[in-house]
Amino acid sequence: MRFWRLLTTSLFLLPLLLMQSVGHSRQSPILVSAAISLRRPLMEIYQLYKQQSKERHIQFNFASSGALKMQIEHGGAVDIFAPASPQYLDLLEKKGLIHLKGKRPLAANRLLLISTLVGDRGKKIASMFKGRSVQEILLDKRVKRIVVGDPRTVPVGQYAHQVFKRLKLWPQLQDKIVFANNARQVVEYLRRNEVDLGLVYATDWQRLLSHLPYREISADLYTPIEYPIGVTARGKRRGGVDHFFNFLLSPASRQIFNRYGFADGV
Amino acid sequence: MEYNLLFSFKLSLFVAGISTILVLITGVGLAYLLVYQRPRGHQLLDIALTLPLVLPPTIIGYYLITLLGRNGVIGQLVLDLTGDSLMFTPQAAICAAYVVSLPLMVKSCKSSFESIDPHLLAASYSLGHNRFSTFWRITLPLARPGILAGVILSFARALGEFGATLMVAGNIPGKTDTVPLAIYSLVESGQFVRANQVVLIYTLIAAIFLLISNILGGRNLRAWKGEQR
Repeated sequence: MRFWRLLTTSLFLLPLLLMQSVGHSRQSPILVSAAISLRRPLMEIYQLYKQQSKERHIQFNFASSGALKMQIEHGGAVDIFAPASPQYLDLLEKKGLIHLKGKRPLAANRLLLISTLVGDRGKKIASMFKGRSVQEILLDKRVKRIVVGDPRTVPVGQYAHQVFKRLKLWPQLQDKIVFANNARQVVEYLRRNEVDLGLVYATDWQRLLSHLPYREISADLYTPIEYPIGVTARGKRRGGVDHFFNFLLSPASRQIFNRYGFADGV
Repeated sequence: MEYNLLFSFKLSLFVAGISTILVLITGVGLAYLLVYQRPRGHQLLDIALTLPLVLPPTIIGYYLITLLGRNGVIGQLVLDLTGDSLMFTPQAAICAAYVVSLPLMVKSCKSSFESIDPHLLAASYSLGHNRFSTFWRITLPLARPGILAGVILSFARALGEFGATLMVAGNIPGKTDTVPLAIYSLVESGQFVRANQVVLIYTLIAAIFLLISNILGGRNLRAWKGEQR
């Protein structure tokens, strides 16, 4: 029986020791559900907000936009919602779960064409990037594989799909295109040199791929990439929600977003 | 400032610990029910208890959010009783860890109950011990190694739980971000060095727990073999 005593006491003791440090506060704070890609700028904006305002009971919930949307649909107590693409906000609005949408997006993003062909071959590619159109780069014979997000499920892939369609290259490039299951995987393929070219967000390039050469995709080839923001039906009457919401859309926070590579959401 | 990793480690151990206690109590009970009582529909119960093992985490997350959400059966009950929603709390993380690790406990308890010689139990009954006394003095001690294995596996599974936790408990820094969620955030925001550090420490902690339980288990097994002689 010594074993049982040891096992049960250790099992009961461990959580009790940790309990006090985990115990949660009674006040219900303002909860901001935001796309995980917005984490760093939002945390920085929150630091700035704390210095300027007395309101300190703000919490963030970071995940993929789809998961965040589902949480709100199932009654999750969220006050402000900032997904990575307008479709998520619109779907919730149709269900009457959004009280107010921001007059302008929280942030915007751009699409970049990235090449992993650096080093020996890179010199050729760098010169290839220079003075040549996106079309010519994509059709270059040295390019064997191009990674884009799966257009059926991944927003960054949907924008890439638009670009290829407007350039009328989609059928020609089919054999070279590799689909990734999310935006991170696109980045990962490029980071690991598994592919020659890829289409990624400017923010991802700045955070994770800044060692690689890029070419900006002309903005008229895809619909604007915008991160919308809204107050949920629950956040409607709650004190402090509007104040933080307005702060998120203020020039001060826009400056922080710009520093992380997000374009002006105007 | 951005990440309170010490908190994440504490939270992970807390969640896995509580979940394992619950799994130990209910898992042994359920396995006993399935092996000895065999109520009507025990096959269905068995399947339902095994499903979390084979379903992808996103589907488990979806089921959990449907049950625990404000409109869900359990969620509504908790809301009525406590006035607080279960979602976005460490308690929800415990629920997620519990659901994914319970099958491991039930499976390993079941197989160790099944391997007990029924004659021993019959002898106990014939010597005047009732069901509870037989369970406590014969079945449970004989099933010890299997139960211990179940506890280890459940605890390890609970420590690594990610998908369903993200769904029901959210990824709220300083409140519900367990170590797997913190790693997810670190990787997503490109902080690979920090992520790697956390991954290494977490692997080490998990390995230490497994080592402790292996030592305990070995000692236990030797003691058990000694008793047999």
